[in-house]
Amino acid sequence: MRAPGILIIDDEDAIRYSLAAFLEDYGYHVVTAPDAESALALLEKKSADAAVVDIRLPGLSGEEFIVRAHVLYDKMVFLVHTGSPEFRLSKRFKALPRVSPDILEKPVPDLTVLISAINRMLGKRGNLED
Amino acid sequence: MVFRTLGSRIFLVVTGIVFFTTMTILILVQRETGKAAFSTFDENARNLVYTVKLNVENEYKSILFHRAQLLDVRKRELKKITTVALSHIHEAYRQFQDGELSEDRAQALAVKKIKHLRYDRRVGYFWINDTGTPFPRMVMHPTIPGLDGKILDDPRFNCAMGKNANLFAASVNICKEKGEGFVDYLWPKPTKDGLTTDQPKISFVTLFEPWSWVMGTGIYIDDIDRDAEKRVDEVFKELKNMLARIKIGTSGYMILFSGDFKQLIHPVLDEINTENTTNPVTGINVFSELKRAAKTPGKTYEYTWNKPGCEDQFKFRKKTYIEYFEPLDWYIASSVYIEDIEKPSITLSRQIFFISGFFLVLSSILSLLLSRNTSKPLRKLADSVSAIEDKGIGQLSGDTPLSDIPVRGTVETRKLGTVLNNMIRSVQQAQAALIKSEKNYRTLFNSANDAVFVHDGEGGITDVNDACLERYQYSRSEFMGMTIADIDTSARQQMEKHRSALEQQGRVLFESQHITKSGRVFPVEVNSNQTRMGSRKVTIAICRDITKRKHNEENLRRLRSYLGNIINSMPSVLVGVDKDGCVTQWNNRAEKETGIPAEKAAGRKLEDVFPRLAAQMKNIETAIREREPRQEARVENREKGAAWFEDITIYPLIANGVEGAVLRVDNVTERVRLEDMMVQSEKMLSVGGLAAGMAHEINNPLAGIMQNAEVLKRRLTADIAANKKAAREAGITVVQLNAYVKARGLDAMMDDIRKSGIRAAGIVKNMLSFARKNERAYTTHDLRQLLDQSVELAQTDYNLKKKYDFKQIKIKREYDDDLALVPCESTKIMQVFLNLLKNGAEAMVESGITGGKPPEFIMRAKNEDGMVRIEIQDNGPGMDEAARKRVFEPFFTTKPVGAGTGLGMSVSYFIITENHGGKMQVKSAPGSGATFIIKLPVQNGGKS
Repeated sequence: MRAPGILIIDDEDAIRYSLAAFLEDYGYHVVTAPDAESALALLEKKSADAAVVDIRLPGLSGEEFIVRAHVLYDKMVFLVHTGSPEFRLSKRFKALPRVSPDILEKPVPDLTVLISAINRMLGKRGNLED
Repeated sequence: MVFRTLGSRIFLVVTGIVFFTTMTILILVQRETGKAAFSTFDENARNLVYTVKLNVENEYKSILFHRAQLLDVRKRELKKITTVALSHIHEAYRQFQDGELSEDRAQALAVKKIKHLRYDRRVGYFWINDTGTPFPRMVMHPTIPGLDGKILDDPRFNCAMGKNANLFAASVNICKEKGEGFVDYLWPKPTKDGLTTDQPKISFVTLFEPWSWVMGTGIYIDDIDRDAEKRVDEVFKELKNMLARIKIGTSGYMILFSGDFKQLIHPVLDEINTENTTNPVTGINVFSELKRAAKTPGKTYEYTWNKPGCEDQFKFRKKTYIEYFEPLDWYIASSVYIEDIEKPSITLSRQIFFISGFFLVLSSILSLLLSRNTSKPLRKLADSVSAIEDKGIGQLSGDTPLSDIPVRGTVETRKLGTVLNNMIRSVQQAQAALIKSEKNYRTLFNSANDAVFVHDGEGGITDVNDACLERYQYSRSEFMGMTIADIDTSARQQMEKHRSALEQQGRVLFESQHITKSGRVFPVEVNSNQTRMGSRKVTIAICRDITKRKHNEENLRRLRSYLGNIINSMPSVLVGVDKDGCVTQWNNRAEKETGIPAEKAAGRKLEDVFPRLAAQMKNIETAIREREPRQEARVENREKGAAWFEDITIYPLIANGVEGAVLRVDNVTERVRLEDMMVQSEKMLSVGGLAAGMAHEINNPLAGIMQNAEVLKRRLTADIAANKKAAREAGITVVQLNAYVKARGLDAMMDDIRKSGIRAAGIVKNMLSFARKNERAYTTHDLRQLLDQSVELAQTDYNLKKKYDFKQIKIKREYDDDLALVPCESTKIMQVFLNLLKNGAEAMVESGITGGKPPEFIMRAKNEDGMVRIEIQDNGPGMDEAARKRVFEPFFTTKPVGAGTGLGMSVSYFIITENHGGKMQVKSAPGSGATFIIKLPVQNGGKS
C-alpha cells in the first residue's frame, strides 16, 4: 500500500520541519508549505491524503485554506494544529465530516497523538467512502 | 481709775516705750562695747607676747646655725691635719716594707714623729691606740704619757658623748665600720697652766690597717659654746632695751624671766625676790605661778597686785599673758591691769545712760501735751451726745442741723462731730421714709403678677395680694379663714416635706397643682420663703401660674424624644462630643457597639468610652477648628481575631455657637469585602486578557522546542529503518549510538526539555482560564463521577512524582443518591477537583498534622436549592484567617518557591465562579482542616 501523503502547513520553520521529520520517520510521505497560498499551489502538483493546518498564517488563514481545499480535493482530511487556545471550530466546520473535530493545540506534548489523529481521520474517510 | 482716760493712757504708753527702748539700748551697748574693748585689748597683749616669743625663737635659730657652721669648719680642718700626720706613718711603713727598717723600729719612728706634732697654737695633738677588744691599748699619747701601753678600760673613758661608752672602743668601732670618723667626748684640755678639767671635745679618728692602729686627734669645742652663750646674752640685752619701751594700756608692761629666776627683765624689779613677789592671796611666788600658767592652754594668769605709785595695796586686778620658750628656758609675759581694759567701755555706757535719761524726760513732757490735746475735743463730743441721749432726737424739722454737736479739735474729732450730725439727720429722714415705704410695699405687693400668700408656718393664710383674689376667685375676707391646703391639691401630702426644707434652708421651690374656687385646677410653681414680720415667723409663698410653661415643656420633651428616636434609629454609630472630646450624645448603636449605656457615657472622655475612636481626637479638633467635616474611610479594626472596616465621619457643630462635633461611624465591612472581591476579579480578568494575547506567541515557540526535542529523541534512540540507514552510512550502529546517548544522558535531557515545555504550556493554559468566556460547550455531567475520576487521576499523578502516596489517603464519600446532573465543562471541573485534592493531600501529608488520625478526605455531594453542592474536606492543618482570605488570590502560595505557581486555587475559583456561574468558598481554622465548598447551578446558560 502506498504511504499516505501528508501536507503540513505552518509558517514556523521549527514546527514545520520537526513535524515533517516526525511523520517521515513514521513512514508518511510528507510535503510542506509555509503558507496557504503556496500550499494550494503545491496541491496542484502533488496530492496529499491529509493536511495538518496551522490557523494563523500569513496571507490566507488556515480556515480559508481548509474551506478551499475541502472543495477542491474531496478525499483530503484536515486537522487543525494551532497555537491559539481560543480557537474553536465554527459550526460550518463542525458540519464538515473531513475536518477533525479534535483540535491539536500547540504544543502537542506527545506527537504520537498526531499520528493517531491522522489515522483516525484517514480511517473515517475510508468509512465515508464505504 | 487713773489710767481710764485717753490722755493718761497715751502718756503711759509713750513714756513706757521710751523707757523700755532706752534701757534696752543701754544694756546692749554697754555689753557689746565692753566685750569689744576687752577683746581688742586682750588680742593686743597676746599678740605682743607672741611676737616677742617669735623674735627670740628667730634669734635662737640663728645662733644654732652659727654654731653648727663653726663646728663644721673645725671638723674639716681636723681631717686635713690628720692627713698630714698619717703621711708620717705611711712613710715609716714604707721604710719597713723597703727593708730599710725593722717593723718595730718603723713603728717607733712613726710614734716618735707623731708624738711631737702639734697644731692650733700647740693645743692640738695626735694619739695612737691599737684595735684590741673589748678595750684597745694605748700605743702613744703625747699629753698623758702615763697611758702609753695601757689597756684603756678606765671608767673615766666612758665619756663618748650621748652613749657613755668607752671613748677608745667607740673610735675603734667607727674605724672598723667606716675606716675613719668623728667621736665627741669629754677630755682635759692642755693650757699654759696645765691640764684643765674635762672639756667637750670632738676627735677625728682614722685606721691604719697594716699595724691595726687607730690614730686620733681632737679639738676642744668649749669656745664654740662660749660664743653661742655670748650671743644669747646679747639677745637678752637687746630684749631688755626693747621691752622696757613697751607699754600696754596706761600701766601694763612686758616681763621676761628665765626658769631658774636668774635672768629677769622687769620695769621695776631687778631680781626675783621671793619675799616681795609673793602673791598675798595664794602665798606662792607670783613667778612660780606664772611658770605654771604658761603650761595651761589659755596661757593667761589673773591675780590681784599692787600698782606703781600705790605700793603695798594689793587690790588691783591684773591679767598676764605668758609664753614659754623652752630652748632657752625663758618665760615671756605681758602684764596688764584689768582696770585699764575696762575703762573705755565704762565711760561709753555712762554717756549713753545720761543721753537716754534726757530723752526719757523729754518724751514724758511731749506725751503729756499730746494726750491733753487729743482727749479734750473727744470729751466735749461725749458730753453733747449724752445730752442727746437725755433729750432724744426729735422729729425732723427742715434741714437745720442740730447745733449742739461741736465740730472742733483734730481732723478725726471734727469728722466724728460731722458724722454724728449726719447720723442724726439720717435717722430723722429714715423715719419719714419708713412711712412712705410701707405705702409703696403695699402697692408693690398688690401689683405683682404672681399670687402672693402670706401664711403662718401651719398654712393659715394671713395676707394675700390682689392677684390671689383675681386668680382664685375668693374675696380677701374669705381667704383670711382659709389654709394653703384649701387651694393646693397636694398640700397635705407635701406639707411636711416643704416645711422641713423651709426650716433648713429658709426657702423652698416646688411645683404643685392649685385649685380655684370654681374648681379649676392649674399647675403652679411655688417659691416659699420663711421670714419674720416683726416678732412673727411667717412664710411668703409666691405662686406662679405655669400652665403655659408646662405646655411648652411637654412639646419640647416630645420633640426631643422624636429627635432621639431618629438618632437612635440610625444604623450608624452617632456620638456627639464637645470641644474637649467629652461625650454629649450617644445613640443606641453606640451603646450596642461599646456596651456602655448613654447615661454612663455622657460627659466622659471619648477615648475612655470608645477606645478605638481615640485616634480620631486630632481629626475632631481639626474639624472643629476648620469647620469642615472630615472623613476617614475603611478604617480597619481588629478584635479577638475578627476584623471589620468602618467609615468614620466627623461633622463639626457650628450652629448656635456650640463648639463640638458629631462622629458617625458606619460599619462598611460588607462593602469593603465586595469591593475587594471585585478588585480580585478584575485582577484575574486582566491576567486572563494578558494570557490570551500571549498564548499564541508562546505556544508556537514551545511547539517548536518540544516537537524538535521529540523528533530528536526518536532519531537518536528509536529502532527505525531511517536511523539504521543513517547510522550505517556514518559508520556506526544504532546500538552504539544508543549507548552513547545513554552514557551522555541525552535521552533524559530531551525528556527534561519536553517536561519543561509541558509545564510552560500548563502555565499559559492556566492563565488563559482567567479569560472570561461563556461560549464553551457545556454538557451535563454527574459530579460524583467527576469526583471519582479526579481521585483516580490524583492517585496516578502522585505515584509518578513519588513524593507521597495518594493511595494512602483515606477517601470517604457521602453522596446523595439522586444527585442532579450539572451542565459543565468536565475537564475544567475535574481540574478544580484535582487541584483541591492535590493541595489537600500535600497539606495533610507534608505537615503531618491530621488531628491524630490518618489523613482523610471526605467528599460530599448533595442537591441544594437548584444547585449541586460539593464539599471536599481534609483533616490537615487548616489555615489561619489571613491565609484563608487570600487563598483564592492569584500567585498566593504557601508552598516553597518553585514548588507551586500560586495559580491553582485562583484558577479553580475562576472556573467555578466565572466560567460556570457557581460559588466557591472555604471554611477553615488552624488545626481543624479545611473544607472547600463548591456550588454549581443545575440550570445553566451553557446547557443546550
